[in-house]
Amino acid sequence: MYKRIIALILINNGIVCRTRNFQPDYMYSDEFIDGKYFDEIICIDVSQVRTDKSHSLFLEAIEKIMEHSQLPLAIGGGIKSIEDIKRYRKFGADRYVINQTEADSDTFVEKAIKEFGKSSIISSLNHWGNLTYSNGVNTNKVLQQRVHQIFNNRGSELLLNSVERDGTLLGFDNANAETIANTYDLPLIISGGVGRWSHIFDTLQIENIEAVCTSNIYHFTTKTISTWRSEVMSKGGNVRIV
Amino acid sequence: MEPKVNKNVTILEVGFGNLPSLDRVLKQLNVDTKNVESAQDILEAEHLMIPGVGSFETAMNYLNQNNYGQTLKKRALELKLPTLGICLGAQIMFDIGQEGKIMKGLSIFNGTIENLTNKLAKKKSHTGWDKVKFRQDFLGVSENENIDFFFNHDYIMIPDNKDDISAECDYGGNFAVALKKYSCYAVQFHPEKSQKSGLAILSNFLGLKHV
Repeated sequence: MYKRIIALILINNGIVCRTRNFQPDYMYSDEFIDGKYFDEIICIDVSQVRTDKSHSLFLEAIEKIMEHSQLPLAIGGGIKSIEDIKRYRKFGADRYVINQTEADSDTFVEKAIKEFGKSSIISSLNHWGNLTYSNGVNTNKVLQQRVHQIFNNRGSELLLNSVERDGTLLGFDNANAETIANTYDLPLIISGGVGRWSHIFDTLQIENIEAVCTSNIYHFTTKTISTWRSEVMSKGGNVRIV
Repeated sequence: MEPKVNKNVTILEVGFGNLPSLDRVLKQLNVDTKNVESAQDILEAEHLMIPGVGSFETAMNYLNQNNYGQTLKKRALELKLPTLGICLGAQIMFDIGQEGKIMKGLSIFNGTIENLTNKLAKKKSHTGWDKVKFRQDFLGVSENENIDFFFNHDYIMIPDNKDDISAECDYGGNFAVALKKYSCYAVQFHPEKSQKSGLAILSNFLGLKHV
């Protein structure tokens, strides 16, 4: 099976945005998204307050992004109930991203898996270094312990978001990702920090890391991802030809 | 871009499906969709697609409660009308499913549906893009072609009759991912999520004429 390069698109009140350490940074036009060279698309609603209005703006943004796309789509952002999942299903989602950083999400995740199947759910954990990150601060809880807690109650893949690396272009947090990848036999999606193609190549070399996300860099030029994909492939990276 | 086809397709969703996701792609192909509302719709549909994700048990309960199971068999085996099952929609065409409780399927194909961890040397879901090796011509794809498609599943189709198998995938061992019998097509991958190779499969299915 190929490893994947995923577009993680953050949408704030209907507008595609960029973040640095999870703080909204710039706004972007979705015209720049070089969609067809990805393997999957994840859209996250990062609006501070979610209302009927913000949901409809989120849907409009998704419709625009997916207009000419036949890629798998995962949607997330504030999923806390079965109704939230059903709403995102109507938006055309194939999978749902549920933030499991806090333990109070566990009962709901169990219910969601029972109703929609494990393979419809991507669990996500936010972290800063080796600690989990929640509500704008890093906690005193160790990331690996949280992975251990949710191992038997999670979606089919685990998305690790490094808030520390987010928007920095310094590369993925391979040290912490690798600790998890080496300890648990579960498919990982790594996000936060990509700045050049070799970051993608290096991180995808790690066993159990099935995918990496780019959420900022592809906005800079319309050719970035197609060029990077070619570079990763020419060095022997296991990504598909698009 | 694939050539656009002006068509209507009837859709029977089973389980908790990704119907809006399939709808979006069919709209791109300029195809109008109609949902099954009665057994008669199943018999009269020129082209029927059965998408679905979720459990085999839930899907079969739904079909049995609405008396759609026998109608689907009649459509496929007697009337031989074009029918395309995708993912769970393909699996329900088998004899027996083991997701949830052990449950009888439609028996259009003979064989069972089993958890991949019991059959393949892998302990994880088959999620992502993978290479599909075609053994027979299948909806516009020629024998011996290798084409990439998107997958997301934990259970696999184990057909009794190897002649039914049109394509296989290798994930810790080979397993069937595309089958055909009469005008009935079963695919484990998601053509609606597989860019141009998927569009080609869908267009070819919609171009099938009933003879």
